[in-house]
Amino acid sequence: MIGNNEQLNSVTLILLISLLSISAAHAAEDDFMLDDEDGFMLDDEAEEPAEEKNFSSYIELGGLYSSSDSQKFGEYTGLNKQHGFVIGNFNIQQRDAYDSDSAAYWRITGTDLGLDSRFIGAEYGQQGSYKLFFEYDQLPHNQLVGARTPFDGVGTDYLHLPDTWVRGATTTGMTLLNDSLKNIDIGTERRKYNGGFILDLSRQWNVKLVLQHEDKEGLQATGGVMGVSGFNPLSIVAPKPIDQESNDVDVQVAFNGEKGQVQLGYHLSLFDNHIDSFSWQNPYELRLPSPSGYLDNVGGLATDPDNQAHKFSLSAAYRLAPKTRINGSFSYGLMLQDNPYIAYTVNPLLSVDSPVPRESAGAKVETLHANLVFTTKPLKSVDIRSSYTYDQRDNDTPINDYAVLRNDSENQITQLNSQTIRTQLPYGRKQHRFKIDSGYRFLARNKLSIGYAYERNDRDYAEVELTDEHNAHIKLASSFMNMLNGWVKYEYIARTGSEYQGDALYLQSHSAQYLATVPEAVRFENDPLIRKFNLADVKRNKVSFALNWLPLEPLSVGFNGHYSQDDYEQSELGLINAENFSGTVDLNYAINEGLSLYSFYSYEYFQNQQEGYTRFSNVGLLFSRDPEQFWQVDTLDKINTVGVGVDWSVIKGAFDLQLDYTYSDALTETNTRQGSNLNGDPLADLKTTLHSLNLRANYRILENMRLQLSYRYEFFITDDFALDNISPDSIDEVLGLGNFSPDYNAHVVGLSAFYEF
Amino acid sequence: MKKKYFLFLSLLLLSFLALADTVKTEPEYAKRGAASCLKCHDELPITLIYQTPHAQQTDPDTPFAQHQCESCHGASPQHIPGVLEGEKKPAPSIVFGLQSNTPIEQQNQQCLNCHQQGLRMHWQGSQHQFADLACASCHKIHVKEDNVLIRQNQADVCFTCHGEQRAQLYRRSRHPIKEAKTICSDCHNPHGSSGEKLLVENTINETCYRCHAEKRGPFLWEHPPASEDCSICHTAHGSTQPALLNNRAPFLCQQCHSGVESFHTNVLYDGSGVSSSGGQSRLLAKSCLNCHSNIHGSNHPSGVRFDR
Repeated sequence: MIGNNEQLNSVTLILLISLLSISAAHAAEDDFMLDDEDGFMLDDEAEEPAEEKNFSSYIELGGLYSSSDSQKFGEYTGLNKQHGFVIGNFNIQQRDAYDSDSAAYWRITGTDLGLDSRFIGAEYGQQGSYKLFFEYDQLPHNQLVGARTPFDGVGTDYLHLPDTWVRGATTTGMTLLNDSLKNIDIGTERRKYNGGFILDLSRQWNVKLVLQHEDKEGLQATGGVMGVSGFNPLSIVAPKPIDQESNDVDVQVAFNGEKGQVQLGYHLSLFDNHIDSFSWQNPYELRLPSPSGYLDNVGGLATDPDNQAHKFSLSAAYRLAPKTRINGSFSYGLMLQDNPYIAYTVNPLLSVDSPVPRESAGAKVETLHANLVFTTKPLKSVDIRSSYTYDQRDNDTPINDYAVLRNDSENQITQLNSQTIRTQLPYGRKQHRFKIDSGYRFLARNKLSIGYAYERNDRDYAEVELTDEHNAHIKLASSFMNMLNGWVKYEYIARTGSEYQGDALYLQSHSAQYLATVPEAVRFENDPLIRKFNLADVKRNKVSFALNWLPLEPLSVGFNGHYSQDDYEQSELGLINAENFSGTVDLNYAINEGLSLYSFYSYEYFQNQQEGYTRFSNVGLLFSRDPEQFWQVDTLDKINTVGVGVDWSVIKGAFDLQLDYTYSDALTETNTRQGSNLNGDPLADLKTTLHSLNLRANYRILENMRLQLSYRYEFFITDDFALDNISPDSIDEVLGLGNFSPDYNAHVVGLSAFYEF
Repeated sequence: MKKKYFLFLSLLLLSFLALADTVKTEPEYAKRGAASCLKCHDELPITLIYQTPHAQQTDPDTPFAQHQCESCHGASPQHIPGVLEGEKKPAPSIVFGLQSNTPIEQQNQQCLNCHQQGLRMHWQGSQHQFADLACASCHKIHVKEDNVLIRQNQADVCFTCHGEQRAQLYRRSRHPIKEAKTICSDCHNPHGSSGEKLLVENTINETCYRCHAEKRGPFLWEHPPASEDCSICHTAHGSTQPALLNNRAPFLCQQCHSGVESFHTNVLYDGSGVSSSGGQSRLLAKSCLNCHSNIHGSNHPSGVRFDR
């Protein structure tokens, strides 16, 4: 029939046309296929990134004048002298163009070249092949304001008194003191040299080596005491010399695969103290019955000993499945210290019958750390992470008995039943931590997370052998229409432990013969009722939150903070309660293209409550306690911090201003409550107030040059009863440095020119 | 008839084969790479990326040596063609930032495809990852230099969320964070770590020893809280008390010490002590450290009370 043939021809024609169309489309799509040989290169006629007049390098030179000679103002910069300084900063860099045949780059950077906090760095590399780098960094730490000392020999390891020195039973009797005082600068300076390379052995393997050397020199305020009895110390606060050196080597080999990564590393750290001991000529008359020869006695401190640390580490990660990953690390560390001992006493007039049991401590601590983390996403809306961590500090320092000679102020007592026969206790710890968290996403932009963590500590030579800490937490995060998002989290932490043995350290560090002479009720280092808060049972409730709000496109407001409360309910003495709140409000407003401002306000408070019991002799423990001898100290810190800033392009590309202002005030109140047998006069509050203003104006004089005028104002004032109006002889039994709490009013004006290229 | 049916079926089979070959399993990247994007996006700051390591085509591992813009933003054939006036253009497959509709995990995976090793090895399971922080929350790519990689600017990025630590910089006693001498990444690895609090080392103490090796010991006479955890007594960012202490001596010390043989540690040091002999030496100047100066540990044979 004609109809059937025509239908069949029609179908065939349609199919043919379809086939041709598909083939044509297929052929067209071939044009979009990757040309693996050529990769993606821009055509000659293709769009090129627009030419931009922005510069990658600059050199800044100028000068500034500082009006303040306060050590505190120049604490970390060296701006502690009232005179001019050079402004010198530069950042010069070059990187081969993105489409060149070379991937070389280099950079040299210098900051604060005219100050004691100068930094210089350089790096050179071929991207994807290797990188070489070197840095020099200086860090001053100017510490005390107004320090003075009568001692000669400052900067050496022995301080001695003027020939005409008059000893006193207290500082009041040192009649030559004020005439002997000399101003000294207490502070240190670090100079660090750091360099190394990273070498890409292949696209997957690389090697890294870093070497670092640091010198630290200066003076540090250190207390040194003479006298045996706790109620009759005679001490000085003196300038101890600091001359230390650290050398570090860090080597890493890393593999980076598509599914797995591995990194093997070794770190060596060597600390070398060029000063083994520090001694001083005693400026006091000794109170204890003693031959007059003791008047010429000397006190001596051991300084921080040379030490070394080795650490081998292995980190690895592997993607088991698209949404499942495991990562972990293992490291073994060794800390060694074997500095030769100085003698039991530096006073040649005292008799020492029993030598030290060994020439050095032979101190050795092995550390072991293993960590394994497993993360997975069993469902699109559920993610899970769990981890286990083991950390061990194993102290293998040899244990010996030492016939301690107290404070260079007595002949050595070697009878085994003496309290001066002491055994050192090599502290160690094993820690297990287990964590599991799960997050559930619902309604597109919400996530509910719950989690649990468990930590067990097993300590050697501690009042509590085992502590267990449980942490349960829940967190809700939510986002509404991209303009409001936030989260709130609640944590409950509870720590319990095995029996608190307050006498553990006392019993282990004294000889059995001595313990036999001490009534059992008083065989304690500390009051049996006290609980050391890092070991004690505690319950913590903590709430933290964050909220970010974008009411308008250029305006963002943020809130974040937390509140936590620790209750040491099993502790009758010691820290019994701690509370902490911190809250911050942030505002950022980009008013227009050339004007933006920010501001923030933070409020924090910290409250600690601790209890004590006053006894005037240890026999007091043999009788029932007098309730009128308990006392409580509450310390409350309240801090307000406010900041505002403006970034204003007054004339676009020609003149801009930046202004930052920060205000902070901190108040520490110390309140006491006590039984009627005790004095309870109030202690003065501690106060700190800071105003800090920074203003910078930039004026472009040429396309590649601009001038910057800078002004910085800082006002800082502290009230600290421990330092204010305390001269070197204010404290009967402490010959101090007379340094006072820092106050300053500093203006810094600077003018510099930037050359950009 | 049978021949015609056979022809029909053959043609049908060929059609299906052609169609099957046309179905793409590979992402559809722009033929002209970045050139397609630059038609619209040739302004600052986007083009600043050309001055950064991400654009260096000689390095085969960079985005621009592969699919260029789409290496990070994903194959986006829906975004490239023009649209009629009034129509809204579909977004690229991956848009970065917390305000983006692209899931955070998907955004981050783009970065992790290249940056999974080294400091980022422990990202999965870290506090920031589990809190759904995006890489783009802290890092900016279309800039000449990323602020978190500039020492002077890094802390400001962290303070976007960590306002408490910003406030602590203005306290009486602090680390030189404002001066960029110790910056956040000197102590913390925000990408994840094997230790607590995202610290760069396994423990708090090991992190502190990086700069304070003189405290490492081990000492002959150890002070257990100092050997266990520096943060038992100190707070790292800033404190109202000297030497970054949590609380001031003698009260800090009396939270653990109330001596039996050493009576002076159980005494209440109130305001009357400021002017009394005996009280002064415990309240004024360096307080307990007027005598117990080697408080972190002593290597002196007579240093059991840390006063030698």
